[in-house]
Amino acid sequence: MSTTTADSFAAPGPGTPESTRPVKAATLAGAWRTFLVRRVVGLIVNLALLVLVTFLIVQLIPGDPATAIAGESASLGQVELVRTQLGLDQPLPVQLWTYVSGVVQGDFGDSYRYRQPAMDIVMTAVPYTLTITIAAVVLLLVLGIALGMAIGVATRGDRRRWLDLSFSVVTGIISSIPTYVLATGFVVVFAVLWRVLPPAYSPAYNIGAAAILPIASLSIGGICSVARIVRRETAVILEQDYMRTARGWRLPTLTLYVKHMLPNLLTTALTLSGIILTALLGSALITEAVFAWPGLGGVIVQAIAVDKDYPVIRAAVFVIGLISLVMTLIIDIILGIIDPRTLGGKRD
Amino acid sequence: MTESNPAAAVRVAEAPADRARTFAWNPGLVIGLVILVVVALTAIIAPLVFGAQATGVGSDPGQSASAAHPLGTDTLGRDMLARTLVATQSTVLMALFATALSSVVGIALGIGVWLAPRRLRELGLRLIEFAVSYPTMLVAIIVAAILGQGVVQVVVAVAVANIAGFARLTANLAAKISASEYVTTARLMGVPVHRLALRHVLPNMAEPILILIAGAFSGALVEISGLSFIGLGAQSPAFDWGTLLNDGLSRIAVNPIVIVGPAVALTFTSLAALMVGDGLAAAANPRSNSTRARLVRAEGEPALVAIEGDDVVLIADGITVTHGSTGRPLVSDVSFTIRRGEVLGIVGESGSGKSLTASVVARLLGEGLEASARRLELGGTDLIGRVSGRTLASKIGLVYQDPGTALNPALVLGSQLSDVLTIRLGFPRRGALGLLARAFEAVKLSDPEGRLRQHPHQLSGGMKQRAMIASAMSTKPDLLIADEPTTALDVTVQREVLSLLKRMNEQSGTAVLFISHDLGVVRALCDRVLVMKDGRIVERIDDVATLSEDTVEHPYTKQLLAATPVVAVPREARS
Amino acid sequence: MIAGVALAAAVGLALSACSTGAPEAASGTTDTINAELWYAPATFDPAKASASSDVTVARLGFDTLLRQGETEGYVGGLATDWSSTSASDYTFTIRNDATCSDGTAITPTVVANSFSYLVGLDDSGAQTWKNQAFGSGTPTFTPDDAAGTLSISLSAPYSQLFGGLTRPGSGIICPAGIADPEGLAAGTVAGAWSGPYTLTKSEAGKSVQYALRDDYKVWPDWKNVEGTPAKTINLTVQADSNTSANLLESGGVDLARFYDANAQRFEGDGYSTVTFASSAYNLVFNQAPGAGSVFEGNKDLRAAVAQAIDREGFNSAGLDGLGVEQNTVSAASYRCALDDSSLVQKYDPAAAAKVLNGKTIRLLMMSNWDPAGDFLAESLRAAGATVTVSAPDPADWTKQMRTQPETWDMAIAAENAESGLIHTSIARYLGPTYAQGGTNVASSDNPEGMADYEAGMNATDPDEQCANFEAAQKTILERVDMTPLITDTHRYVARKGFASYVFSGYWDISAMRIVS
Repeated sequence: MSTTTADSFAAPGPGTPESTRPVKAATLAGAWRTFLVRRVVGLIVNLALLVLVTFLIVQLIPGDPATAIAGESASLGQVELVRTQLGLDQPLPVQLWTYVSGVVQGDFGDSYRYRQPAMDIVMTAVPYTLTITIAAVVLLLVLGIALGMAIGVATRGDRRRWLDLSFSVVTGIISSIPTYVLATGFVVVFAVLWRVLPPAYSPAYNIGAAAILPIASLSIGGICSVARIVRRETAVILEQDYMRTARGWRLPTLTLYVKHMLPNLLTTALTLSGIILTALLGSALITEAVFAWPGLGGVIVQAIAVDKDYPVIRAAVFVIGLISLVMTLIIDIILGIIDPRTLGGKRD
Repeated sequence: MTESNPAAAVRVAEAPADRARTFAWNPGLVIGLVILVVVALTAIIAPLVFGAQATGVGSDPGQSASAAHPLGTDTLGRDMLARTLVATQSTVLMALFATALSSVVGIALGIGVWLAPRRLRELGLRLIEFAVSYPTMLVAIIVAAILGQGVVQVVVAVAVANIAGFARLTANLAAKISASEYVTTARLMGVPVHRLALRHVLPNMAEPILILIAGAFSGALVEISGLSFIGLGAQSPAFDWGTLLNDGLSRIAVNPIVIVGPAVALTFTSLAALMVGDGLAAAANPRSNSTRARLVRAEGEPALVAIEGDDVVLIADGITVTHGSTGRPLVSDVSFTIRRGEVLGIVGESGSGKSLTASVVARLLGEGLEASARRLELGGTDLIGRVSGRTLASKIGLVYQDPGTALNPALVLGSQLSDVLTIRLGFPRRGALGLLARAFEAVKLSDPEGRLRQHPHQLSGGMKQRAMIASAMSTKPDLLIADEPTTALDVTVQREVLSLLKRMNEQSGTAVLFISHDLGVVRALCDRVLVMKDGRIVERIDDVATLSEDTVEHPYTKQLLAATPVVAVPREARS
Repeated sequence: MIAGVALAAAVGLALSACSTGAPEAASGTTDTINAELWYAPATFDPAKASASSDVTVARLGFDTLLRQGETEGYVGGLATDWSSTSASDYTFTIRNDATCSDGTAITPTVVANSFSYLVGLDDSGAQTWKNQAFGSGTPTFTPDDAAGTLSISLSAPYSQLFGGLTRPGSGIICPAGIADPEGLAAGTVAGAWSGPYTLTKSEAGKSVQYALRDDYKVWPDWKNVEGTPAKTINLTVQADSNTSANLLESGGVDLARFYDANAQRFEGDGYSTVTFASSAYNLVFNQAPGAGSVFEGNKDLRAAVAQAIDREGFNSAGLDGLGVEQNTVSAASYRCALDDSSLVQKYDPAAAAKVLNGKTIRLLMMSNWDPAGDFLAESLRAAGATVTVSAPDPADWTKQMRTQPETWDMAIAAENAESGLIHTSIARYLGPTYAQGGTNVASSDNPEGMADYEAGMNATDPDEQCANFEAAQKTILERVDMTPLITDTHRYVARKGFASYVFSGYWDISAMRIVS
């Protein structure tokens, strides 16, 4: 989440002047068409990059990848078997071609450890990870924006300094605690001491109940980060000319903040949410370990740290990348609906 | 600067002249830096003082908090306080190296991409965007997986994972800065590109990059500890806060005290970096620390002795504005009246107090300012004291300087412009939109209904200002306050807008208070003109028609007059 | 939709955090046991089982000829009677009421085919099981379905065959499984199972579910096992001890395995605990000729290292004090294990320092053993030695220890202590090295011990076997080719209403029971 502060510079926030763009058609249809075409092309290019990156994961292993992958007790024969399995004995372009044609059919090869298609293993875990990440992102945006906006309005023009200060201190501390420490703390408090929530995933529990603590620990740091950003953004928006214009119309407070300020805040918040989501996916990988959550985190850490199960690593990396790309696209579409200015933007 | 951040520019422009854009220290920044200094000192001193205690095997393993071991001992009987303090060095060094590596490589990449030929740049930008969209933690895990476990590998992994963020910020900033005037000028003068990068582009990025570095350092701390947590971090005998935490977390229910040290250290160091980042951002962009705006009635003899006739719309007597906290006077005792159908111009350079005067009249005084007036009446309503929003909304129409920023970018015109009609004047929504459409027609906007469904960015600057004027006039106000309505527009568009204002004034008889720094514009439009300087009226010109350097007295007015060409406002062709 | 449920749940957290309670204790109301595995099983073929989780689940699906019992010695599994005429000739009587999950009767021929499949596999896991069951020679199987007997003759004498045939890897695979090895490994062959449970669900890397066979009636005749077997067993993958403890406390799992202080959270309160030796921690000295080890031909130095280490300190550092001091090559619970602490070097840092001062020692250990490794290294440093530690991942650690003696002087070795077969532990410190086709990681030259070992392998009389194996252990300890540290004792804790059992040091997953 740490990058969000700086990224707000780059975001097309409300402070960014739009260049005098030539008038387009009276409707946004044209803008949407261009946007979608551009984004679909972008998605394809990014997917191609993703395939390339996952291809390179094995190529970049120092030394002889086949030996490294086959592991310690492998005989020379087994090493050669791995080499053939991965096609590492082929020339590079051939390897790439084989890999790409496999990937196109969703075939990343069989897991070394489980001897099942790697994609199946990854897809079993994906719903679990998505469940907690999406819920966390939604919570984080809703609560983060509400909190940040409330504090921003309450402390506008340097009112209530004590509130501003305590908000900064509390949210700063919470967002500085590593997620997995927070998660462990939650488990101790809610599951061990008070015993009101399940401590971890287990077939004995309803999945909804077991998801509460993972979602809470994933989102709370993010809520604080988003609230800090939104609070700052609120201060900036309150000083914008269009807010003065709205005050010039003597609009009631509620209309002023909800109708005239919120959409602009959403633009910033949603622009950030792509970054937040990817950051969340990252911390979900670690947080899952605390809750024995049967998601991608376990799959990836096990595949990397224990099994060196490269087909699974490739499939998991590909799927996470795909999730990031699709999420970014969805967010940009929502963004375009809220604020059509972004349709022309160069954000991808 | 104006290019990159109009909001900041406006803020700076509105601020009193002596508050230039300086670096303003703030408590967050100071506290953050102090914590970081303490951390740095600990990193240097602790290994020398507590080194043996932190690594040597102790006699009472797995102890809880005690006088001898305030943070307990680990399973080897080593004092956790000593271990936490000693681990500061390795942790901070790892995070520092990772941050340094990622920032140097990232900035170089960002600049390189920006310097590259167009096609390569496009590709580079796309690659960076792609990398940024990938979870940092996963990139770090992958790199750690490829390189294996160990301190160096962790540093490289976290550095690689953060490069994309730096590269993107640098590329974005470089694009923005390179579009700015001075770089364009330097380019035209033939300054080589690499020197441009070093001399002009890089220094101008310092601020945001420093903020990102602070954020990245805080992130690196957490990421490194996260890698340790999942077993990809530093291996024995090296230890950092992450490994200490990892050791302790599995015993949290058994001996919770042992995680306190590393958890607190990690959180506070990360918090300090965060505070420094926020502090830097705040310091670079100081917001006015101010109180609520106030408008009070001043006692004293009225300066305007003879106010006669029903056709006086606005009476402003003795407007004074002071800066709330310093008490510095910004506008001193300004008095004037406006009659029905009259256009009164106020002219002066920026900082002369003309806009502040208008904002007092409009009851939109900025935060942190205090205003007083002996008398302020609009169409018989006393504006000092409580006035209902409805009254103000119906009596005063406002047109602002920059139509580009004065309209809400996120709302379609119909939605934002009709609010005042529906909410304040009680129109039904449909009626309000119909009224607006007619008003758009009156200001010669093509396809009025279609325009109502458009967002501001789909209109040109001139069209936006017309829409603004149409909206201001839609409430049939007694007074239209136009604050530099043409300054932000092209010359040809300026003239259109001026003629429009003139026509609206003539057709509806609405009084206009016209603020401008351009005497040429003012004399072309206005019936009477006030010249302001340093918060005072220095010249009242009642007869604009015969205005020349000879008819004015104040040297400043003469100077202004000498510098302005005559602008003729053409009568709009009636359709 | 799952997201929606989760979101609703999460919002519920904000509103009221008290709607969800822990499930109440089982007490007769459940027929399901929820337990954990540290890693997901990679194969369901018992013959190929190599990781601990593969071995654990193999026991659920596949019965062996013999089973470990507690007081009763070996207990009949699929065999009702067993005897030997020499260390090379064995006869088993196969019970006539056992069936496969597809109803096929388990005849001596079925058993012989399963063994032939195991022996014929070119798989490192299978080789281990084959060696444990039948020794290093070639076995010949002669089934007699009419008489219901199976004769096994070995080309090399191997006295530990009965013990070897209790191991899960020697579990009998039914003909349907033998016919489809890939399906067998994936657990998808419905008729492959000979044991009490069949696999009903497997999420690779996450969880497995087993269901009790309705037609299974051939439970071993254990004397002390009480309660009813679960109809359903859920095994989820979960390796964190703290999380296990939390789940056990809240009822998320019914049984959990502990190796650290979290076990102490379950003393009393209706929890029942069984303990068993999990691994034997030893310090191995590298004596490979010409490999550059400081310990080659330097017994004093080896003894000094042993003297420098406080085993109790090692226990508390690495194992939270839950282990027990070990006095020979493996756990004291093993048959024929020496248990005489006088043969182990006494902790004497002062004496050790005299020899160790100024010496440089390369310590090899596995990654993620930080506390244990730190303790050893710091102990030797305290005695004046310079210690360099290398901690590669488990795979590389094994490889270096076995085949790269030039990279290390001394290694921490943790050997699985569940097999109950002492001769495999002895053979790690004498006889041929890995390069020579053996398992001697110390590269020591100990002809006297080797003679005792071979005598033990040839003896049919249990007492004679033990006498020989004990003599071999004694030579190893006297030569200080290795020094024993700690036996890592693991605990299986069952919450109220559940129980599990350990038989002669072996925790048998199929003996998990629901008790009222």
